[in-house]
Amino acid sequence: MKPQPSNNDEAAILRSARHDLNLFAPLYERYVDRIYAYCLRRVNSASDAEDLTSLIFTRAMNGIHDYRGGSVAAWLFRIAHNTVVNHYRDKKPQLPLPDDVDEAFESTLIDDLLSAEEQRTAIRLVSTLPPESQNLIWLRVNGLNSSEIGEVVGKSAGAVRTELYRLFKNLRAQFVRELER
Amino acid sequence: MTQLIEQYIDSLLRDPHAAPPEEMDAGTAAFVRAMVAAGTTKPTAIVRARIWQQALNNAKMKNGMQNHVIALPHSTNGHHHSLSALPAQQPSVSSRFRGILTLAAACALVLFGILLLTMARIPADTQNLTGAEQSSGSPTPTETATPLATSTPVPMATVVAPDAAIEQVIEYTIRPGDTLLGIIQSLPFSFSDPHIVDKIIALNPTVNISQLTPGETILIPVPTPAPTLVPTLPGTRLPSNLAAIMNDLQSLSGEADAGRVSFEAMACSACHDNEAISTLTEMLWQSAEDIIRRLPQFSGYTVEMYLVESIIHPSAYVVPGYANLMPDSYRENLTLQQLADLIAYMRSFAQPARTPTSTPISATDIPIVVTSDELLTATEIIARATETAVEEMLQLTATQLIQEATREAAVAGSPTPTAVPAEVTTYTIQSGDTLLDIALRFDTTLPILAELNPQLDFTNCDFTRLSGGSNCTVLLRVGDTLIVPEHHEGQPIITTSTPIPSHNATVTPIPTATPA
Repeated sequence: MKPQPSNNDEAAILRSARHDLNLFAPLYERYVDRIYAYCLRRVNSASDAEDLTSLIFTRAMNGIHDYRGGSVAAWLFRIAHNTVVNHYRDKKPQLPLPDDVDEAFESTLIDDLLSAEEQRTAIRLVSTLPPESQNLIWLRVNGLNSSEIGEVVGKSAGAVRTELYRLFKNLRAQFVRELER
Repeated sequence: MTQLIEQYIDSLLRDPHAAPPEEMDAGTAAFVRAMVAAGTTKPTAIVRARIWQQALNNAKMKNGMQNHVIALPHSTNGHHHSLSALPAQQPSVSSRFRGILTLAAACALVLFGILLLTMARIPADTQNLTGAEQSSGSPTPTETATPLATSTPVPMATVVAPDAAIEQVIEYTIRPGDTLLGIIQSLPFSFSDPHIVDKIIALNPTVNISQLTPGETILIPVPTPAPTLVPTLPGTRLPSNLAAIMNDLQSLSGEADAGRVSFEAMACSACHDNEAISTLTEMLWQSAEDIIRRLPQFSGYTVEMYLVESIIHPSAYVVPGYANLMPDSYRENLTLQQLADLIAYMRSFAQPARTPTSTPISATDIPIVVTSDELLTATEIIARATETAVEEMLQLTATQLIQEATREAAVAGSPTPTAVPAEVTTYTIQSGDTLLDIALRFDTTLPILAELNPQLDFTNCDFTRLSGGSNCTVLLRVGDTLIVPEHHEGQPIITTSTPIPSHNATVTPIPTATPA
């Protein structure tokens, strides 16, 4: 329904926000859901995700002069990625216990229970992968294309595409097997 | 295969109900759907607002712009609450406001009745309602509530998450000439909340509310459930069952424009214009189509039938991801013709090609007339309310420090210093109260209320947050008594003051509320 904003719009917003941080708001509105969702999957805790998202946007606004053109999404998610990596470094690794799926599905309808079960399965399968692979997947699921992901993690778009191909293929196979059980 | 997967991911990101590509097998489609659903959990509106507030404040702090944004007040005489702070030389507005408040109190009582009805969830409630109300056109709360309350042995428990009170927000786009007071008065529900100005300011930390810029969007909290504004018309009650309604509807033709007017008048758009709360107005038809196609329980339904059922029995099926917010009272207030019009209005969105001129008028288009008097008053309110907000922030930090100290002292084995105020009083829980509301009203915080009321069960609460965090749940029961700090300004709150002898004073045990 909403018109897809072009990267030019976003770069313009960033330029204007250099003079007044309040003008960063439209960009925040556009990205907060995706950044939050990405953080939530990386750290599996709603309160950590909230803190990290706020930290990420703080850094984005503080680093607004560091934006050197290119994809704004990639620029923001690179900040997000670095922030999450630092978070891991500072904090002892936590058991990946997703705490949001159950909340979202308080319904008792069979349909929803199944869907929640499928989501839990997906999260569990991805969480068995090395962090770098998890990163690629959650970046992709939050709408970044291969070349943007490449910018975030410092790889070529081709390398990202190949890696994603392999990951999706394996995950899909495991997922279908698990659900048949 | 992975190309298909990526293609499906992108279409799901555009539309969560998108159908998978034809060549894709069911297992893979389920896999992609699960991945995207799991990987794109959105924050709630209040979390979104909180994150922005924090990020912007931190960023400005670093950029040295802090003083420009928040001028710290040096007020010593307690807190000004928005409404008591109205200056005396503006009698016209303040008396009007008082009138509105009285109206709001009445409205709140009616709401309580509706709430009881919704919570009792008696299967045969249609008959009950018809029986209870046949005497009068507009039921008083007692008339509505009493028959159900006596017929249910279940204790009436109000389950309140502090966040839930302000979780439902609508976005309002500022139009030229808008003032905060004008906006508040124009919205059908916002004046029922005496803290509305504080809440709006808290929700919109980045907005300079005394100088609203046209085109800017502000968040406005919405009480739950949104009140129904259409008066009951005696003699036009809907048939009691869905099949009978559908049958009667066949003889009527709905008018989309009239439907739009009803949609606005009943404040449907308050929720349906915000996709964080509910299905968007323009998506209602398509979403219904999708649901009856997907879910076996709706086989045999037409889209009209599904929509009618959603209006008259909103809790029959709640779309996953949304809370069961819609009031259960529409079937008492709607006429068949209005129902037909509403359906026609929703159907008008079914055609993908819409002319821009037929865009629905949203809640934000309510005309607002503002006089310069009001402008002044609004500015006045805002100046005071900003002080309050900042003071609350400072107070929270102080409480955190005290809490920290308390915890450390407890570890060290020394006697516990306490943040509990010396003077306390009692407060009787009213319907619709949340703990956050109560805390705000008595200028206190959740940790202090927790300290004073050991009988309260704080589940998953994070006391470092003003709101207790998004998972915070506290069971409150209407009519129960809470110990609260003495309110300094002597606002008219029905209380009896009792000095508390010591921190460990025994509080009369209050039975724990059981969820209904």
